[in-house]
Amino acid sequence: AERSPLIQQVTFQSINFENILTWEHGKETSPSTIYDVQYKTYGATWQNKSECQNITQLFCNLTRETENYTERYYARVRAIVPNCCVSNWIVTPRFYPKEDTVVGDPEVKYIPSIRSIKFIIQPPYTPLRGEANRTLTVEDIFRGHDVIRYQIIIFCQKTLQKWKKTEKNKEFEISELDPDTEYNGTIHIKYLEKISKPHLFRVRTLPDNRWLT
Amino acid sequence: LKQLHFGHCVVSMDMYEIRKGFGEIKEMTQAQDQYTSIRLLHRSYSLQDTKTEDRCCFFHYLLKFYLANVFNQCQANSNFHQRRVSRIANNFLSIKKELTLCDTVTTCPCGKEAIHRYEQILSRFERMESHSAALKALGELDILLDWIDKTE
Repeated sequence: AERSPLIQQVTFQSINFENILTWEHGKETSPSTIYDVQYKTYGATWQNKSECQNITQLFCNLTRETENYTERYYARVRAIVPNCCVSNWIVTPRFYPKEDTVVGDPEVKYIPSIRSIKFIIQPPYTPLRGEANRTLTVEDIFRGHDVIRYQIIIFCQKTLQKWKKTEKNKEFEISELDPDTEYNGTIHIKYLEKISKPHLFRVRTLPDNRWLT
Repeated sequence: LKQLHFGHCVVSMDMYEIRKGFGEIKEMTQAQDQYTSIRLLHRSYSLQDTKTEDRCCFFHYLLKFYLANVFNQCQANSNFHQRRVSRIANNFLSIKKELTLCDTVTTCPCGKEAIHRYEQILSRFERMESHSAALKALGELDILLDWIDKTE
């Protein structure tokens, strides 16, 4: 009977341009199995990932090797069962970081006032460096293509009102709100027809104490 | 719509439609490309880095290349795939017609650089078996679309 494959689901898992090669072992794979990893730029030849030779874990960080996000890459894995056999190489689909990475949820600061809330979004950082070795955010990368937007969906439990707004800037204010009222919702980053993981928020506007004085 | 300006001539491309159609067949098409050490649309011959005066001709060559050597060669094993390829091909055909209306003799002068770049791509293509080469070129459509997007 045909043996189940020693390796399955060889793919890149990429979040904020942190590119990790992952795979699964087959049902019958022996615990002593070790793995070799190679990678290549599309159009070039295979290269060993030196830190991922004869490894037992089921992942390998290829961020540095795939840092040119406008390039296309492949990676492959093979299994070696000591004193037994070596599997075929199993190759990933073509990997294109700029389109295939998932943008994580942004960090957000909120500054509530009596009738408005100011939102200040901090786009996720990437492992990539720009000029003067500055750490780049996903906004830095996608800004060049003028495709990044910030989408806020805000909901008021008290009035059951719901808004959806799309902003170009990462600092914006939602006004005409009720004092001393809780608002919750989500903030996403939209890029290249895609959307990031959501940031969930819950904020309360300030009470209007002016008529007290 | 992406607008490409070649002299007084303006060609418009529905990039969203083309990218959407390609996105639906990309993984299936690229998975069939076994020759991953060969890249036809190499970054050293990219459209955006071509001299401005040669860009129109090079672009015209690429359109004709895809229409003549790629889309009709990719006989798909599924209707789904074939419909997407046909829609993309029709898009390219209308772009090529628009360009031809621009009196390509004056608008698209073919200098040495345009011809050289196109010949590099064609020679790599012709070194491969035709069906594999057509599949590879179809799988590289996103590279061509990136070139076009980056072309001012």
